[in-house]
Amino acid sequence: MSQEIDLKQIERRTYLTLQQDGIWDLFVGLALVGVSIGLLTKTPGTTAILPILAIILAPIVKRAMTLPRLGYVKFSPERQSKQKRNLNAMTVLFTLTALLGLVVFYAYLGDAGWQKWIRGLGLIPLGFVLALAALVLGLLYGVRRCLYYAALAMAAFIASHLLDMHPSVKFMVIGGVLSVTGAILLTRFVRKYPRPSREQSDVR
Amino acid sequence: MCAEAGSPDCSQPTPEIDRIIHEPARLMIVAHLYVVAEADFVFLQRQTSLTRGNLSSHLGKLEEAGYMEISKEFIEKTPHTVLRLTERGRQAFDRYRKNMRDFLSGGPGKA
Repeated sequence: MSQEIDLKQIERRTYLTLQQDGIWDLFVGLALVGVSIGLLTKTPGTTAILPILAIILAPIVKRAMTLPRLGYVKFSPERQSKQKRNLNAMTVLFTLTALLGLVVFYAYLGDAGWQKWIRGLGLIPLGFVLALAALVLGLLYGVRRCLYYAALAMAAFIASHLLDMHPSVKFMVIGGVLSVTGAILLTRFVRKYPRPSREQSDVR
Repeated sequence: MCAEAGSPDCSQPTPEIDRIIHEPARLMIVAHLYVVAEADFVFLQRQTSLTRGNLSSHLGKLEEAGYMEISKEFIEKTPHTVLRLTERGRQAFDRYRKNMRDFLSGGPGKA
């Protein structure tokens, strides 16, 4: 019997169990689908509110669904520091994304040289930043599927620009893939980890 | 015994293997608790895939040995059976890992 114990692997697997539920994929996906519908129907309120709702609701749903099924864990101080650092990195990235979004938005308000140049690129810069955010998220948190999302985002934005499609198409495609992936992961998760009864969570 | 086995080097003593930890299920339990600060019964059961009865039994042995502490705590208004390794348990696991590494690296197949 092998007595090789890879503690790093155990710790990593323990941490990644919490990411198996697909809840973030589902909520971000639905938010993007909503953005797509907002763009199609020209209702900017929908476009702005849904991502914010996703960020607010996903942790609440995660707390209600995932934590009771997986149980309580307090990670080591090293992992907690790493999580804090990751959160700081994601906050910086999110801020940069928002700023770039503003720059792109502002590019449509004037005719200066740089504004025309950005308009010429379409929404590819925004797609690049979204892909970068997904990539960084995947690398920081070790969630491999985020790397595929990053590639999908970049491909969708470039294809949409080259084929001159309506902006809503790329958000629908990305949102659709995320939502479906999230729904499948969540279904599998709920089947694999049924909610334990009070009795089942006690030591005899 | 060494001469009968014909083994060339019998000078190294066999390191002491902590039998409390050495049992496979308990080894898995201790390894999982070692990498976290604390966890509850449900989390540990999910990670180890042990049955409730089996896990309870092993936890009892570890608690008896002074390697872990079990407490009932309220976390966000919900009762949990919280498990954590004691300092003694962590040191015992460190010793166990060192002893196993020494034992396996000094084996006859090694150049």
